Amino acid sequence: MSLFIDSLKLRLLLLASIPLLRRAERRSARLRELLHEESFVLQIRTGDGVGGYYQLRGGVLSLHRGEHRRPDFIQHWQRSADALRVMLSRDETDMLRAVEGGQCQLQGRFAVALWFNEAMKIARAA
Amino acid sequence: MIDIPVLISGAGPVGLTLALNLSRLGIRSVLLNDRRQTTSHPKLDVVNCRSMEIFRQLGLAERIRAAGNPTDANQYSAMAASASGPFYSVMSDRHLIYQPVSQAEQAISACRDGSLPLESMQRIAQMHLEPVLMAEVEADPNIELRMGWRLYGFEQSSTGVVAMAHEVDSGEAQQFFAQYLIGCDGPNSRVRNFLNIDYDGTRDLVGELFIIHLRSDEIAGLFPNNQPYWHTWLTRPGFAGLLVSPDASRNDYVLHRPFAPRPGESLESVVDAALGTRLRYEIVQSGPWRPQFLVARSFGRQRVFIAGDATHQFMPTGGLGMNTGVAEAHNLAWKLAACLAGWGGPRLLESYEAERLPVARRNRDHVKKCAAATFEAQMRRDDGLLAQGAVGDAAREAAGREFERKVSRLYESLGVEIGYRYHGSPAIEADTASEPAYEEIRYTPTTWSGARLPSAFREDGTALFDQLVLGRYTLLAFNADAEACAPLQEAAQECGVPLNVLPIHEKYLATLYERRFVLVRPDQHVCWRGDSLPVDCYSLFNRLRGAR
Repeated sequence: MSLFIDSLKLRLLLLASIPLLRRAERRSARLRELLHEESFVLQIRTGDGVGGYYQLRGGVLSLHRGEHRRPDFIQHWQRSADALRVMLSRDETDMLRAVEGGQCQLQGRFAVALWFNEAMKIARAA
Repeated sequence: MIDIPVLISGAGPVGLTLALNLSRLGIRSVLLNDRRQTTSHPKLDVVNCRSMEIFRQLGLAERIRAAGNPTDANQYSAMAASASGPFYSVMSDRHLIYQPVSQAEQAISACRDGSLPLESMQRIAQMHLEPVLMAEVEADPNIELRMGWRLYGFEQSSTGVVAMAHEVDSGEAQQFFAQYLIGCDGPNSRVRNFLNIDYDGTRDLVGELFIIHLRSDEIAGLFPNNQPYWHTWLTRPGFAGLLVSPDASRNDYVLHRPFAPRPGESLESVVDAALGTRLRYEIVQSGPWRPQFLVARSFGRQRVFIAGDATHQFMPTGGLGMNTGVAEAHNLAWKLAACLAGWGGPRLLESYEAERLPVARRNRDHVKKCAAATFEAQMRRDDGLLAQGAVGDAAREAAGREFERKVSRLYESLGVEIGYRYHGSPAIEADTASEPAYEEIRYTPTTWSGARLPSAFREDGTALFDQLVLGRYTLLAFNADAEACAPLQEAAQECGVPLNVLPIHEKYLATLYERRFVLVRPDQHVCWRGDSLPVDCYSLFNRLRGAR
């Protein structure tokens, strides 16, 4: 049951990020700038079945369900609960702890992770 | 009130370099510093090629080399499971940067195409660099050093800056009247804050990393010839870090970790895990720190400017923190001297920000890419890395290849170090030719206006840079007699601009420098070039010296 709740929470968290980023886009010049600095697909998947990817193309960031065939960067979490804990944490270092601890595996262009981290920080503050 | 041409707040490496550069140009300064002593932490571990060129121009290169890594010692970067091995890769000879300085000097002397810097980098800790600069400053009659003094306010007007400082311990106050105030006062710069200049960028993108400074006479024994590598990147399942030896002849080491020890972990257990064996060592200090990717939105106003960490905060991946600051000090010093001497026009100091702010932003982007590259190389989780036999060999070889492909950009980016060009500067005559391609890694020698003059040697082996007199413009004149150069010399004299003419006859230099006349600024950057002199040399010099 808790597995189901965790994966549901993670799905909701990913969904909620888009309106948050849209709002920040209206308020933050830096985020508007960022949106035109990169082009990528960031895949998030968990061992318990949650999958989705963010796609940034032509300055528009969108969220899609499922697996992208050629993502630029992958976060592969062992469990949704781990992903939730780190994504909701204000301590950026939790991500590195999760990677070293084996709860998360990263693959691909880390610049995408830095981009996303910056965008989400702006979105939270906006 | 003390009347001084230039007041500098902050006696770190950038403030010290600025004061020394100004002194070499005949300008007196007062240098204030909160702390009473230079740093006791290793901090930075490299003076890069461009900074070494600058220190050579200031007559300091040899003293810095003598205080740092021995010139016959390696500057290698490696990746390993631990300092005891297994090693996946050692970058030792694939680029000039890794070679011992004595070996690199031979390659540099033999270089005829301008593709190498005049000086190789120097592996050295900040705690050993600062005393060299400090000793120079203390012996310099043009510089009044006040350690333990803090700037606490200033007001600027069209005629100068009135600054207030006090001695930290006694509270004794002192007023200064300076023509210019420069804040080299670090990431929490008071000068920048007083100017209400914010950073451009988002803080804390990576989080809180952790650093341990240790001393050991036994760690060197883990490396061939008892000579520790400069950088040993540590990667294995469950452990990542970087062991830095800022100087192979000393027993100081710095261990970087992505986060503080976890509950139940001790500093010693982290060090033991990095070393891969139990050795004797002493932990000198440790603590968290937050890497940043920030650049100030402005570099100053009117008579008050900032330089060094006051203008930028970079993660040290790529070694561009202090080194960007040294180039800023070098850019600013001759302009301040020109304005104080009266030949620098009002737009000359405006060119400091126009030239250096885009370089700081570009360096920030590079540092970010370097940080991403190191994370990529270290975050691959391959449980085979420690396996015996063919599986382990293949995993280690793959990790080594990945490391070289990605992390080499931290070290080999000569394009970033010496290939930057000043675009759109009010103190440079825009080039009419199209700009040559720019790459971060590979340096393309060019005399395109705004570029650093490519370094070369005369036929007799003299470095051409050594013939560029400090504080003066130099006209490189290829097969041109005195009469051909006369209009430019007359214009310079009329504008009060110090100009030397350097006749060049070597054919290979004519090819390298692309034009018959190349005009080089005091900071070794090309500011104009052509196959014939401009019709109006007077107007040219007025633009170059920033006259409105």
